[in-house]
Amino acid sequence: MRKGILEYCILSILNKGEAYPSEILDYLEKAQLTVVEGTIYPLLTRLKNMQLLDYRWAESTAGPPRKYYCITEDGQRFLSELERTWLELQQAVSTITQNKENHE
Amino acid sequence: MNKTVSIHLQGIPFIFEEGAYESLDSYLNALRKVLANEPGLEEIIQDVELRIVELVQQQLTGGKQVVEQKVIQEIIAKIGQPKDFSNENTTDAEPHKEQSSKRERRFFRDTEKALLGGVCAGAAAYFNIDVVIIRAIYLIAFLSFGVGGLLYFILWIIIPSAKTSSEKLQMRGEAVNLENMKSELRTATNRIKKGASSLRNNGSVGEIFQKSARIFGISVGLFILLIGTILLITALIFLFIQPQFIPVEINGEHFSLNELLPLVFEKHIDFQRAFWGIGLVLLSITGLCFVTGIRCLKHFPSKILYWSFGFILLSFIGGISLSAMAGINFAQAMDSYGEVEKEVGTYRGTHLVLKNEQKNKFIAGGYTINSEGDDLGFYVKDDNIFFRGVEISYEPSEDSLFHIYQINSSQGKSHEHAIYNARKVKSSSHLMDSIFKISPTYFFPKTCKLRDQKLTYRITVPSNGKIWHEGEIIYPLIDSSAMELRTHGYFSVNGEYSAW
Repeated sequence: MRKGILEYCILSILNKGEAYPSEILDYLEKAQLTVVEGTIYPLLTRLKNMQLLDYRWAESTAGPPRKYYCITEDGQRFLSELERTWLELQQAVSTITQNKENHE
Repeated sequence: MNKTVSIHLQGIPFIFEEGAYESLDSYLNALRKVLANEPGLEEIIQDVELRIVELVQQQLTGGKQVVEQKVIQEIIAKIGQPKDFSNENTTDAEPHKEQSSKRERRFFRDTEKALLGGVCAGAAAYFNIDVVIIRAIYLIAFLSFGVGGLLYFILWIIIPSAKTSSEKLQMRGEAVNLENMKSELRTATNRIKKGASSLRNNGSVGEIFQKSARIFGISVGLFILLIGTILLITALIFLFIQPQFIPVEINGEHFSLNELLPLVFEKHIDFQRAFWGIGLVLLSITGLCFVTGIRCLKHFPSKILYWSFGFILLSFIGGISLSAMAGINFAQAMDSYGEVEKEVGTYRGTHLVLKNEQKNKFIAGGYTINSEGDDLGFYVKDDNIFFRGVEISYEPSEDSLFHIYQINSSQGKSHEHAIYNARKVKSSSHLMDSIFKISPTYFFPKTCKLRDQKLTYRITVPSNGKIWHEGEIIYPLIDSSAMELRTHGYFSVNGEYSAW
């Protein structure tokens, strides 16, 4: 469950613009989504292997070059699918929970 | 005092405490072990190392040069223990299998999104296109070519429906692994819950959608039922009553297929085959329309559905094979061509007049010709089949006489048979002095069957000879536009002559 959501979040972040892993982590942290850093690295690679993401190398002012990830067209399509599923899920959950309240 | 080592991490040199180096090294090794099955292992390690470099560099501000073990341990804690990397992945313990089965899509029927049998929805999943587009294409193809109907039911029968979660995943070309199966199950439960809640909760979006789909289904059903009814009526009329579109009549009445077929087929069995063949094909299509139409309106058990479609398919195939057998026999009966030519008469002179036989006149052979109506087709009177319209061709004579030849041609199963059929063709045309009285109707016995019998007159004209018809020269006649000699003429049943 959480993994699916994490994928959704990462794709959403990258849909707004390219970012390197630390930036992605910052976004997640800012949103107070507690994630063990380690989980996102295999995830990024897997998404890249699925051709949902791509990356390019960019020089940084200090330190090693950075790997900027960006979303592909496939990724955007997948994202909109996820978005739809998410909305459906959200709606379903709220329908169920509300009904529960009505019944109780 | 601590021993230090100098290392390169992602191309950046660092000085590590020995303990720090050992911690990092064992950490990275542990990661490799945990992620050993992960495709793109090196890239993951690379990302992790890049992150470590970044974090180490943050720690080295303020003049510090040596990376302490404490720092590395903090970084490791921040990034996560190796088990954290695999934590979420324990479910996909077989990532290699996942990759290989990933692209493998299978064609299943999607009964959850089905309007009828879910063939279109399955195709949509297979080709990853919106199902509405597939349905639209299918409907257009069906209405314009009319072939799709049967195809759909064949596909319905032979394509299995996606029943299990793994089949549903394969249908959409998704990897069959635990994670995806879980999500598939989740959406399934979700769907059931949603369905249950929409029962209680009127006016939800889902229900509006379901309602409109239902209305669409009902209108499609009614439409198909309408087509089926029209087909059924047409089929019955065609088979037993009066096919007005076949220009054949007997005693002024139109033929039914039942009466027409004996004129075509030699053997009784072939005529039976053709009759039942055409009948079965028509009725199976009608049945298809009815079952489909009713299915759109009302759900009934798939077992009944399978049985009825099986039955329909069987009668369709049976009908086609019966028709084919009759067709093959007919084709054999039409295999050879034969013609006979005989001289009707000769005439010495410069003017030959073509005159149409009077209408409604008693002709040789004792048959009365009812010559009303059009040129097309034929009619049957007593034991003879009458055809309307004869052709004439002109050519220069080799002597000083007009010669009139009558050429009868026919098909038959052998050359001898064709010749025999040709000989049976009769006409009442005859020459009286300078007047060639042409009957535009020729006939032959019913027993000869319809074998593409034709009758042509060949008239040879001497060098200064002319042929007249109703006060006009019809040969030699030069076509003003093409400057060609017109060497053919045609008498229609009304006695109208046209040159070509």
